[in-house]
Amino acid sequence: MLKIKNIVKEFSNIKAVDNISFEVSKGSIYGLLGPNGAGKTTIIRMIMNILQPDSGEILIGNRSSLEGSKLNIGYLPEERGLYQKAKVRETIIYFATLQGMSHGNASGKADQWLERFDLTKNENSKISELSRGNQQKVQFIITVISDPKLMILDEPFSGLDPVNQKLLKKILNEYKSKNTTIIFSTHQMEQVENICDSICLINKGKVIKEGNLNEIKNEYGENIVEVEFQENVKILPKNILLDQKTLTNMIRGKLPDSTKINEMIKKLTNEYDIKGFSYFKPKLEQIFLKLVEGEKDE
Amino acid sequence: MNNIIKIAKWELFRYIRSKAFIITLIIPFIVILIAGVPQYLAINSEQPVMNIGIIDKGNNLFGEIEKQVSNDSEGKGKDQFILQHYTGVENNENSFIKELIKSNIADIVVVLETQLIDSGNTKFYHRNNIGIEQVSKVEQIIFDVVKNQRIENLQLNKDDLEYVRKNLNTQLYEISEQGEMEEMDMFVKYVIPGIFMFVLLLGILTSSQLLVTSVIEERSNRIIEILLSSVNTKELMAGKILGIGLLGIIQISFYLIIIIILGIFGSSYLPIELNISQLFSFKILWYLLFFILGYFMYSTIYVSLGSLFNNERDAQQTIGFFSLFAIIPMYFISFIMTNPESIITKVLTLIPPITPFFMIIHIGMLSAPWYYSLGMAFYLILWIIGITFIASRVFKTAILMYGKRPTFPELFRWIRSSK
Repeated sequence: MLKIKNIVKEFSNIKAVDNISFEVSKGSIYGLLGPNGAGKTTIIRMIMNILQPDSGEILIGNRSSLEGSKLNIGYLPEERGLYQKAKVRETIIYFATLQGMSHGNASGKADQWLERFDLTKNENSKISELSRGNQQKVQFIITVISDPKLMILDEPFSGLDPVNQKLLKKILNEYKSKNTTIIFSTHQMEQVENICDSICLINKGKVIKEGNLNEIKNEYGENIVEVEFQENVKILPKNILLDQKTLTNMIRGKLPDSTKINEMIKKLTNEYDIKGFSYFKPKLEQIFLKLVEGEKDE
Repeated sequence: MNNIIKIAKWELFRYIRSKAFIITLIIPFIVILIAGVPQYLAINSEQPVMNIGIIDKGNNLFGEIEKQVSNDSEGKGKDQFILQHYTGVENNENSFIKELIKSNIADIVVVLETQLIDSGNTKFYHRNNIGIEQVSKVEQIIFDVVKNQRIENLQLNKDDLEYVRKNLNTQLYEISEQGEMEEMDMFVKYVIPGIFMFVLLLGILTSSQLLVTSVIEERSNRIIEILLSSVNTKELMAGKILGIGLLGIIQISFYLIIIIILGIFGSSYLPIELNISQLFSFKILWYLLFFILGYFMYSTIYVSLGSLFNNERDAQQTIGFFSLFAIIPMYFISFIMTNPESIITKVLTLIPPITPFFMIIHIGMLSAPWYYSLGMAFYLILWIIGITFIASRVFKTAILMYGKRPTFPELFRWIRSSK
């Protein structure tokens, strides 16, 4: 759906984006991650054709990003803002018509979305009269109202309460099942782990890791295992578990890279009386910190 | 084009309902009211009764002065002035006058010196809290009496006297370079172009604020990023200018309708004659053309200016600087009217931000020939194309730049850059 090929963007002789390439497949949720100033917003603006790359190419479907507004991309920028004195419903309809919808169609869809987000009672309120969370919901409606085939969401969950975060997640999954491609930029690693299929980690304008989320976790993660025994076991052989810490009837340690989890369980059940077994997949946050801080050290 | 119309509609309806626009509509009426009320009060308020003491040193004019007061053109003189004649005070004149005024017997004391008719020498004494207009009125009465006496001394009969006093009845005609003659109408020649200039100035000052506020709001709220995901910078800029431009046309239409209504129903209450049929002359099309061109040019400048600033406070100084160009023509109206062919007039007319204003004067007050107006319209259009080109490049780059304000070298780089 989206192909980014060797894009470069400089500002005042500083490379904000330095030869970046990645691909996002149709119907997937793709996480664009990186510390502040990594170049994420610049990449997003180039996809949106708000900025143009100095070199390289961006293809959306088979069309160049330079076609810009004709491509109908839903975009939710990180910094939220709407016309504060305008009314909720008329604002949604205005942006929907700019996205190419007819006024009638936009009106109908606006009503459906307002109802879904429990904002019908606020449809004639001024934007400034809404809470921050409700303003964010209005902005999300504007992003999705024209059912774009590609959506770019920058920190979509910030400012939302858990109930609305859940609703938003549900809606994103609905769009995913309708084959919509979603690019998701955030600092909330937990959200990325919950909804992204693939990620691209950017730092200082360069890709430092890109690919399937599970594969990256497997590659970079330290797989922690916790085994609870019926009897008192003090230590396990090092070929089973590394860096062991012993608690009462329990041992916690790292799974050696060469050992697969199934093999380990088989070995343990053959030799010990096991009461419980826990396997902790590595947190994306740890991988993120490891990679970004590793870059810093270099 | 479709997106331009959508943006224009949005901008138009957003601002037409705003308090700022409604206030702008009524400002001229408030200005007229503020200027007119004191005038009205001065004319219609009750004048205090004044006691006038006359010391006539042998001219025998008191009776004539009394007659003149009774025949005052407004018919109010008799009620306004109470005259008292004093004689035989030559020896202690000063102390007598002081006493009259000190004891409130007289407000003004007039001394008619001997041989007044020939010499014209009089002295006026008045209390220090008497308005100068009252003193002038009494002076005018005395002067009229002296004038009449002088005419009488020439032994003219009553008919001759009437003949001498008969006022001029002037009709003004203008003949163009082509030899066409037309009667001059103050309303058409001065009032209508004056209204257009004033409304253009008001429109520019209002639109500058609205446009800059609108762009800064979109920049600071980052609405601009959502907008640019659906439209391009040219469409956005054009839509804004068109929307605010339509607002200007609504504004001027509103004033014209008010003038027409006043002309039809209220002309008897107005100080000048409003000849409404003259409003629909060919010149009005020229005024409208230069109004729209002027409005469009300033709007283009202000949209790009708005993109350079992060908040309204920072933008105010620069807006003020550009608005100054719109105010300059007001100071030059009398100069251009008395020196239409001077080099300064010609040079000022060629400065684009001043051109629309001066052309309204040229067309209205100086009856510029059509080919000159047409040439200047094309000249202005060429400038607008150039300004739009520069403004769109500045707007395109600046609209997404946050933080530091660009330097002039950076601005030149943006203008040269095609990306």
